[in-house]
Formats: sequence, C-alpha cells, structure tokens
Amino acid sequence: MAETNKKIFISAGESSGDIHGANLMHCLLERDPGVTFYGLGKEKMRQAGLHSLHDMSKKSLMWLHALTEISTFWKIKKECVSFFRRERPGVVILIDYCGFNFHLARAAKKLGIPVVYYVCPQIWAHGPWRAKKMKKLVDKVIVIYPFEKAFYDKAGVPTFYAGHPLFDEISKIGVNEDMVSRLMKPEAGCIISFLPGSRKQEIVRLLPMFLRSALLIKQAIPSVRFIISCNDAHHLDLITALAKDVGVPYQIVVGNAHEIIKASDLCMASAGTVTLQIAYFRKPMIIAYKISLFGCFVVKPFLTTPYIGLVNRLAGKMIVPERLMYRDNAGWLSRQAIQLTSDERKRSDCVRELSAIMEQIAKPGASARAAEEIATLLRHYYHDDK
Amino acid sequence: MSLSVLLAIAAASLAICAASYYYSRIKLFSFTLILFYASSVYLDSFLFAHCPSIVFIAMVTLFVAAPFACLLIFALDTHFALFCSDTSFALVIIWLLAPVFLVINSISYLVKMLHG
Repeated sequence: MAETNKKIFISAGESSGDIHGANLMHCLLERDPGVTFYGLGKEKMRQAGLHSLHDMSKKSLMWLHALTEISTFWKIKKECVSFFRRERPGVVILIDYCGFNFHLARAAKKLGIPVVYYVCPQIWAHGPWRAKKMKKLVDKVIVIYPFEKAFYDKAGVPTFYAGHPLFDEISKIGVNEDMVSRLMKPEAGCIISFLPGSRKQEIVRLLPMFLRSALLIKQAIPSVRFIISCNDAHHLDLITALAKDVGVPYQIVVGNAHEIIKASDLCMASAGTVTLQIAYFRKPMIIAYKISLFGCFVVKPFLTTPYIGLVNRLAGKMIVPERLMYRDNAGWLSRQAIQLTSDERKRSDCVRELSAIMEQIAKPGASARAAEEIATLLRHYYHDDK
Repeated sequence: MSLSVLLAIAAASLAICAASYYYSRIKLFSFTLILFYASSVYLDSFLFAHCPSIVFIAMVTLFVAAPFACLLIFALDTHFALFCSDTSFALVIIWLLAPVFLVINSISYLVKMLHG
C-alpha cells in the first residue's frame, strides 16, 4: 500500500461484525504490517489493534432501541467524519450494521475516500431497493454468500465473493472434543439443543416456545435430553429465568456453541448465522423466527425470498423445516423434532443436503480473500488516479 | 351522502387496503388508501363541523398529511436512494395511524349519533 494509505478506517457494530472485522484486520496486517486501524468496534477488534474512536460494546441498532440512542449515534458520526477530514484514511471498511454504516459511507464518499462494504446487510431478503444505495455509496461490496454476488451484479454494484468468514473462525477455534464427550455423556437417548440467538429480543421470543415444545417432545420420546445454548454470558440470568419451572430436565451451557451443536442429534435455532454453524456440523435442524403480528404484516410485502433460513436459501429449497411465526407454535416445533429424531430416512436426507451445501461454501480463507481484494482495490484506486 | 355510508366506505376501504398491502397488490393498495383518506377527511369535515377549526386541521395534519409525507419519502427513497436511513419506517407510521384514525372517526360518529 502507498504511504498515504496506511491508515484504515473500519467500522463494525454487532458482535459478529467485531469477529469478522478482527479476522480481516489480522489478514490486512499480514499483508502489510505497517497499516494502522482506526474506527468503531468491540473487544476483538480492539485486541487486533484497532484505535477505537468510540466504544461500541453496548450499542445496538435493533428497532426502537436505536431511537433512544439517536443523539449518541449522531455524535459518533460527527467524530468519524472529523477523523475522515483530519486523517484522510486510505479506505473506509464497513461491516454490516447498515443503519449506521450507510451514513459513514456517504460522508467518506463525499470526501473522495474509497468505501468497501464487507458482510452486507441482508437486503436481498427484505428491501432489495436498498441495493441502489449500495451502488451510490460504496466502491466495492465484498459478499459472503454466492447468491449475493448475483443480486449485487444485477444491481450494477461492483462485487466480490469472498466466502463466509465464519468458516475461518470455525477452523481457527476448532472443537473441544472433551467438552463434546462430556455433553454427550454415556447415557442413552438423543440430545436436542436449543440455540435461540444472541440478541435478548430473540431469546425472549423464542426460548419459551422452544421449551414448551420440549415438554411435548419429552412425552413422545422420554429418553431425550435438552441443552440450552447461552451464547453470551450476559444473557445467562435471562435464560435461567425463562427456563425456570419448565417441567423438563435441561442443561444450560454458556458459549461453546460448536461443542453443543456437535454433541446434539437435532438443533432448534433462530434464523441467522448459527444455522450455518449447525449445517457445518451436518446436524439436522429446525429453524424458527418469531416476530409480532404487526411486524409480520408490515414486512410481508417486502420479503423477496420464500425462506427465512440461510441453509434453505442457499439450497433454493426447503431442506430443513423452518417457519416465520407471529404466535407460539410449539406443536409444530415438537412434531418436526419428533420426525427428525425418529425418522432415519428424513434425517439422512437432511444431512445429505446440508453436506452438499457445505461442500460448496464451507471453505476457510474468506478473510484473506477479502483482504486481498481490498488491497487490489486500493492499488487500482490510488495508482489509477495518479 | 350520509355519515354512516361514509364511515362504512372508510372502514371497508381500509380493510381492502390492508389485504392488498399484505398480498402486494400495489394498484389496489394505492386506490383503497386514497379512498380511505378521502372518505375519512370528508367524514371529519361533518363530524368536527361544530368544533374549532384547529381540531379539524390537527386531525388532518396528524392522520393524513404526516402519513402521506412519510409515504412520499419512502417512494422517493425507493426510486432514487436519497437517504442513508432506512425509510421503511414510513409504512409502520401509516399502519399505526390509519386504524387509529378510523377508530377516532367511529367514536366521534357514535357520539354524534347519541347526542343528536
């Protein structure tokens, strides 16, 4: 990279973006140890060397909560824009979090700083018109799913498909086999795990329904055991309170999502990246997503894909049961779970389909490919200008 | 046209409007939305005829002008990508305010009927 481009601005708001941002930073540093990173991120990005302009640890852009923090976000944006003016970073890299990052993209664009969007918001699923904004605000989009490339290509946005950085993370962390054995124990009976998501709102909506379905499953399969995944230790009290007096034995495990998935015979999960993790371990799953009746009504006309689960979207067909719900449907969940645990043919079909998808996309090296693409963009951007 | 007919038109058009929105029938949605607001405003002009004009103006501003402004912002954003913020909130505002508008008009109508 040219001397003027050594400062890189990078912004991620969510925890998953923080992990992907940190991996990307490591890869960029491997390419050029002289680069320095400034911007917005959380713990992992700070550990990777980010000079944080603002602590994003407790920031959320979920729904109405964002409204309560408008003035804070306004201040953060002003800080970032004055950094752009003062330091003129070589590139602005934005990771997901489009509610805020689009504002930074516009500011950077106005100042003639190249903008790269990495891990795009899922606008292909709900709100494809936003691709026009991407085209206006961003110089390059680095996507993580193969079908996203076709979507952005059609919209005329320069796009590069790098693959999903989740697989870098899985191959880096690996799986603790001792932990898997401990979770499985030498007991008879299958294990069903509940992975209700990483956000408080998702947990509150989904976990009670999962647990109600657990009661029905236990009646049909008495030997079944249940594990509740607590992705974030901050949510342990909430999960414990929601699972109290449920009437079936269960075990709550904090973190160790990969081990929980590997130890399970079936997973019940919220729609999101966790479904790819489950698919990686070739485990049958049921995907549920619950929103309010009003929310369901408002978003329905904008849903452009018939699938809420990424694995079904990637397959282009329903390979695992999924349902978008606005009311409790524990009966449906339990019926699907009983079928998937007891019908061997259905299980093997599901596993075969998941394997086919994973063979296509579960390739590590996404962060390195994204870093390479960013370096190429900068070479063209600055050298072509000269 | 009697007030009860106007109220019935407003209620029916809102119901059809909601259904056409849900099933993405854009032309029918646009037509019934305009019909709902036109009939509701016309109804208001009778229901609030004896109130100070500020009441009628406030009703129309909050329940008609504001949602239409939001809808305009959303339409412009969809076509020209004008704003960084997500403007789909406009639809939430419309679907929150329109039923409230109908309920207020229904209550005002009942009050008017009961008290002559």
